[in-house]
Amino acid sequence: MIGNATLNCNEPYLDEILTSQIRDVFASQKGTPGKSVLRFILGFAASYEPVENELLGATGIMKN
Amino acid sequence: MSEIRKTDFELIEGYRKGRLSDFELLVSRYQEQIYNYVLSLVRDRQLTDDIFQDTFVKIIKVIKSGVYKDEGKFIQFAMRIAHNLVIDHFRKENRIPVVESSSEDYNYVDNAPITDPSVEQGMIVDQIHSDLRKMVEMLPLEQKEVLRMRIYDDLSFKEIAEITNVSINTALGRMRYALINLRKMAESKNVCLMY
Repeated sequence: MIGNATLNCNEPYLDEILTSQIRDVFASQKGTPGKSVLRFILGFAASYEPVENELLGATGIMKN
Repeated sequence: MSEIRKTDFELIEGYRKGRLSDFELLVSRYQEQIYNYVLSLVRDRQLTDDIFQDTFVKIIKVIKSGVYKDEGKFIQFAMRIAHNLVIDHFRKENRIPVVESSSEDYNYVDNAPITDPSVEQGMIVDQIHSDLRKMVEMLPLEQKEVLRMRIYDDLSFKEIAEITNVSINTALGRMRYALINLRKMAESKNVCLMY
């Protein structure tokens, strides 16, 4: 209850009931990425090669 | 070694060396957590898909360029990228909530059209969740974010601070004000959140 009751736990103004309720709210907001998105990500992962600048940056080498 | 027992860093290293199946496993391990984190902030599935995709594109680039350092959990690294992309989006849209974390004076009463007669007629769990969901949605982005990370994702304040690039005290403060604001909204709307 966040109105006027037990609010002093380990964290300020938080109790078990409110924690549970907030957890339920977030749990109800679920979704999954679209299949086309996952296909794109895996396709990108399969084909991506870093360009020269990225590799140079990774090793800290400056190009003249 | 069983694929499922590989650590995140072993999967990352495997992918960096060319094993795509390691990356697939990494994606499947965390896709739900990352996707739902973004969805809870932007509340739009198309936009969530876009940000989720961009998050992994950045992850791929970091891994493949060899700059990924195993300084902690992969999920913190991934969520930090997702967090930054969400912030970038709202900045571009000029839609970042203007309420400061430290502000206790924002008039949630006048800005919170959530009165519902059924709340007064009974303590129905669905109604309570509906009211609470509306109140959570009205919180400033950074407060909603820390609320989710702490309560739903069960992250420590240290982890939250690292992901959102703020101090631990700031993360604690955001949590405190999130709960204060929820309490204020509940009081002002006479919403009882106990059942």
